[in-house]
Amino acid sequence: MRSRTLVTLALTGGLILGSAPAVLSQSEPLPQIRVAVWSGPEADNLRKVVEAYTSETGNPVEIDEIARDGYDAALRTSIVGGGSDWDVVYASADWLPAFIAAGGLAPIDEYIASMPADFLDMADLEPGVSNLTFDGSVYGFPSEGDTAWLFYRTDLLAEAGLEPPQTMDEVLAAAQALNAPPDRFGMVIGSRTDEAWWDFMHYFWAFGGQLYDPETLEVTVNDEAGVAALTFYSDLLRTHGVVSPDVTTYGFNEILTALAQDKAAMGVEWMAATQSLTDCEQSPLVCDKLAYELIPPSVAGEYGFGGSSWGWVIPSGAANPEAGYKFIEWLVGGPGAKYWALNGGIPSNTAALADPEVVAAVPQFELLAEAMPYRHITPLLTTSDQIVLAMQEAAAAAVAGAKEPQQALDDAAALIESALVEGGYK
Amino acid sequence: MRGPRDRTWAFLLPAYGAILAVVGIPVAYSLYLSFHRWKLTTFQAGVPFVGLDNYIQAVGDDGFWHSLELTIGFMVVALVVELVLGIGLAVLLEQVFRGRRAVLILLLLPMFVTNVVIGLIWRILLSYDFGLLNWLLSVLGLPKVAWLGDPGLALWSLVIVDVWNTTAFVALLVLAGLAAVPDEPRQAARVDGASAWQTFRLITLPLLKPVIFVAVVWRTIDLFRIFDVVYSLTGGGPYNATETISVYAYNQGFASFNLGFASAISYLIILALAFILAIEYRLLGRRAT
Repeated sequence: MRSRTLVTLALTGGLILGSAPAVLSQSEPLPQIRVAVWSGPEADNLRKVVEAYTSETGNPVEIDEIARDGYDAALRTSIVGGGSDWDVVYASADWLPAFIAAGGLAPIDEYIASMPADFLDMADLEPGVSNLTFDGSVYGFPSEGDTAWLFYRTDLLAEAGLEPPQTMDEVLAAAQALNAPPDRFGMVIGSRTDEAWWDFMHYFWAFGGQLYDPETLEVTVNDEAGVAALTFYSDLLRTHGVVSPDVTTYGFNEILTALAQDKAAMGVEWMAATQSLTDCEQSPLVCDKLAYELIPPSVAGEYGFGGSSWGWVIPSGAANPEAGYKFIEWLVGGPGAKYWALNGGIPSNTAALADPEVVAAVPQFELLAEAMPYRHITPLLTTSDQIVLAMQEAAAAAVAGAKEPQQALDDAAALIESALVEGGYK
Repeated sequence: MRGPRDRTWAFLLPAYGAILAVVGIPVAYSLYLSFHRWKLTTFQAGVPFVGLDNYIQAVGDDGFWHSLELTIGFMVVALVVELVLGIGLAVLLEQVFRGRRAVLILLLLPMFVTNVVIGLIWRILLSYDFGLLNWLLSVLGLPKVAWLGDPGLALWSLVIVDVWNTTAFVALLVLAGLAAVPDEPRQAARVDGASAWQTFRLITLPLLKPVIFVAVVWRTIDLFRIFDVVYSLTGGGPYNATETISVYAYNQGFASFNLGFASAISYLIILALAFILAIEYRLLGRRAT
């Protein structure tokens, strides 16, 4: 009798549990996911934030850190091929149109509608999420919506009796005054071919450059403003010698290192580097001597500089897309956004950006709010990669002395024209 | 009656299958791609047959010729330096001296390191601001050199790295050849009053020709298709100063994602290499074999 009762209870319990798989699945850890991120501050930050995620939710995450040099190509090869290498990928918004055209990304609207967490408020993710929305479908949650600063050495400027530069002419004058080669150069740029656009773009827009007319789509990179920008940029090495001769091999990491190791008095660098440069454990030589400000324009007050928009997306070949979604939802739309900000990241979540603890801990966010209206994002087209290639070849060629700025930009203009035609925009 | 030999083909089938899967299919597919238009932005709409268009585009492309020219220049300089140094090292190592084994192991060490790691290590060693070489120059009171940043120097830096990396391989091959060279002709030459140089030039070197030919062919193939060291050391830059033909093909394939064009370049690389090897065979191989 007693055993029959036990069997009945067990069967009843089994039936109840069997009829509630959703409840069970939520209490069990989700399957392990693999996340692709490029090396540098973002990967360092992600490691810390993932630790918090796993500790809070019990869901395991494996990080696949890939060198910055080959990151774009690694993603393209896998995503376009429908590979299942990763469940979540950190990607620049301007790569997405091509990925989507190739069927390599999965929209996440369904997840947002069917399994939203209590903490998710899509309004907090605007305007970043708009950069990841194509043809009405959301393809990811936004991460870095950032820009770059002009970093400068306050001690060296004070010694030289100079104020922080407010225009590009003043940048050059200060760079010349602080130039002490070969130990320390007045300035640092990064014109390695595969990263040149991401450095040159700030100068391009500071001088009032424009890729193409938004109305007529007439390519204008080689107009007066564009040529003035590239002439200024390449002359830093070729005419004035205020940057290291090695800048033709420099990208983000090398600019950061040159500033941190007291090898350059000034430099334009992405704000992702700020925490590293101002942290006295990571940059003991300069942490208390570096300040930063908006990148000066060529004409006082008429600001313009580059910006980038990154996000966490889910490849269509992902093995565990639901688990991937829950991770990015937590990372961007939930508690993770604050962890991300406090560990050196730049969340696109406006609630996290306004959090008093975050504001107090990360002073650069106040400047970011000031910078927002002047940021220029690389156009989000299916052929954006060709526009980027054209511009980085132009910048790298001019700095290396292989082409005059006008010729380099004329060549770039021809390539951009064919990219617009090929993409069906003209 | 079927003997056991008749069934050998069955045992070889798995091996043939594996080779077909990992070599045959990719080779055939890339050949197919080279006659089609495959671009990241358009392949979903179809991969149209374009005949020889990709090959014609490559032949008319300045970037292709620049890379080909640069690769041949790099190959010739590196090959000559590696051969001269490799043969010299082999002759030295043929002598019995104290510490010979240790020297041999030290020489072989670079061959144990992955090429990408070699590129990264040399990128640090050759850095203008942080590199060991420039530090040594400054200690000696000499000006620093932009080994990788100067477009006129970067290719020479690449030669230095490749020579450091693979001269030991040439030396090892020639050393093996020297071990097989009979001693009698050399002893006879010495008895007849030939100097060491005359013995080497007129007796040893001709006997080494088959081995040297193998080294030349092997190194030519490696140098012509060099990719990993270049990619990790310079990425093909400054601008395109070290963009060897393989790096160029890679950039067309995996930066521009123009796989049809990149495949055509790959087949042109094979043709160019076959042409160079045919010349080498005509100049060296016939007499060597």
